[in-house]
Amino acid sequence: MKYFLTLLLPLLLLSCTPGPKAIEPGKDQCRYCKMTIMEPHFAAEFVTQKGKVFVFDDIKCLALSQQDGSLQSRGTAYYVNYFEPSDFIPQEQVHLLKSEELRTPMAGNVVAVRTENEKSKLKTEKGAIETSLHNAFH
Amino acid sequence: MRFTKLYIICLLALCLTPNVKAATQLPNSSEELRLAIEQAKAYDTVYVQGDYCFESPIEILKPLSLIGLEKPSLDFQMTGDGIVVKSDSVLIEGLHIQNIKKSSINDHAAIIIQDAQYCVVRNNSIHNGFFGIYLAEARKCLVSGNELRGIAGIEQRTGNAIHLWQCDSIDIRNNHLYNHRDGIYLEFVTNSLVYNNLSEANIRYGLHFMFSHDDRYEANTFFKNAAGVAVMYSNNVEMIRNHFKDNWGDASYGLLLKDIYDGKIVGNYFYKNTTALLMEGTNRLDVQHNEFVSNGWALKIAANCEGNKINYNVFRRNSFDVSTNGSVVMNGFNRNYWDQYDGYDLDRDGIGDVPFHPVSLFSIMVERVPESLMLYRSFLSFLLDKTEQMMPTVTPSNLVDSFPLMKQPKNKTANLQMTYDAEN
Repeated sequence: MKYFLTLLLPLLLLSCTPGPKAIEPGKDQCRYCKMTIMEPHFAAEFVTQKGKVFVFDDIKCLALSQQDGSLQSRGTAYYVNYFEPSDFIPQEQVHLLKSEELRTPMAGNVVAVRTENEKSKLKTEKGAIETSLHNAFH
Repeated sequence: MRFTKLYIICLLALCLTPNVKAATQLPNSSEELRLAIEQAKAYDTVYVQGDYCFESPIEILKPLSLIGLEKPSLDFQMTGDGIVVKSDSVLIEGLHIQNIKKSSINDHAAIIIQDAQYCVVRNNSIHNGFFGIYLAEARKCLVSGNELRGIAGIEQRTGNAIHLWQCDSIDIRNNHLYNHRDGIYLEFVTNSLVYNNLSEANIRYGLHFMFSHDDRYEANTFFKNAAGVAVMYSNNVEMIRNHFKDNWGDASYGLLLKDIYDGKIVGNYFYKNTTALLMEGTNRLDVQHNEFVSNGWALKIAANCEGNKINYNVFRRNSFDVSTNGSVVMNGFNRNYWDQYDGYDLDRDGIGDVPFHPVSLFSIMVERVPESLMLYRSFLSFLLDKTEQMMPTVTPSNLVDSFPLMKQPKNKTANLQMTYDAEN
């Protein structure tokens, strides 16, 4: 039985698919700016093809590391939903909004939401305008 | 010079604000207190005594002194902000404020000063404030002698004790900051002074600079904060005579420098930190007369740092003195005292005749393969270091102290006593 389990273990590990991981506030460090993450609703992640997860405290940090090539690998970016910190939005479905009132940790002031509903909520409450990674940080 | 100016302005603010004119009558209930503030004329003083409960913030829209007698308690019952100041020349003194609403969308605070100047917040205590004292677009204000005690629970939902955003010429002194997110947080703050504060057990940084230029912090103690002190994206910051103690943990630093230019780190004392001083993208800094004692890594200097002068420092009982991640070093190390130096001084001028290479092969190995730390103090690591000393191949050859001191210089830090609460 014991041997059987030991044989099973590598199989279990193999079966993991790469994906975003939940952010632990107060523990995870931003890969770009080294800051400890305290506000997960501003965060973003980058998951490499091999399944390594890089965490960023601000969408600005993700954008800057993509630009300067410090990620050194291919992968997918995920954005944390501003209204639901456990919801990771992939690049294709994300709506990015910018507002000076948001005050993100790195002063990028851009957040991510998933639905039209959330989008209009941010627009009315914080006076946010729609943007893209390229427009916001270039 | 700009600090003397700042000091004078703050003194002026002190002299001008408590201008007692109105007859004093103590308000008995929270409604009466609200009414008293509303009916007071500009530059009146409102005295407060006793305990009050509130269900909405108190707004101060005119120059006013609000002074507590025998620490009256103002309980905001988790409903929102505490005292919101939107006027120049307001004094808030001697109050005990508690229970501010926690929220991840809005930054609620016990005392908010918004777009104002010449305000003084003095000798208050704030318990369970989400944010403690929040200054936004304030100029020439004094925050002194306050005690802020947060409740940082498992959910990590707490704000910064003293939070400054887009401010200029602020004096923050003699405060005690405990168990908040950041003890003091400065974002877009210029020409300000942080003096003689005690910042401990905060769940992120004891003090945190973001995009804040021409500031200075002096004689503060940062103790047992989760990640130490961070100075980021800021130019011309002077860090003088501070104590960084017991910032211990995986991602913990005494002082983290990231992308900063032109500053001074003089006379500081680093004791028992995992990494005492981490420099990344740091340029043209003077790191002088500091003492690094009993740290894991005394100094981690990334290869993208340039033109720093690291002179007259003392390195004692550190596991690793200096560690770096590249082979090119464009910083000067001179006349430091290293307790791991075993050279000789034949001409007896107090300077060792053999240059000292503070980076050991083992520290580079640990930098690349952290797991190899398991071999620390083993015979193997000893052998590695000895071979490297004889035939340097991997360690950067120009990271060298050519004039290592034989004796410890008498640093001012050793005798520095924190005078916290002497002025309270």
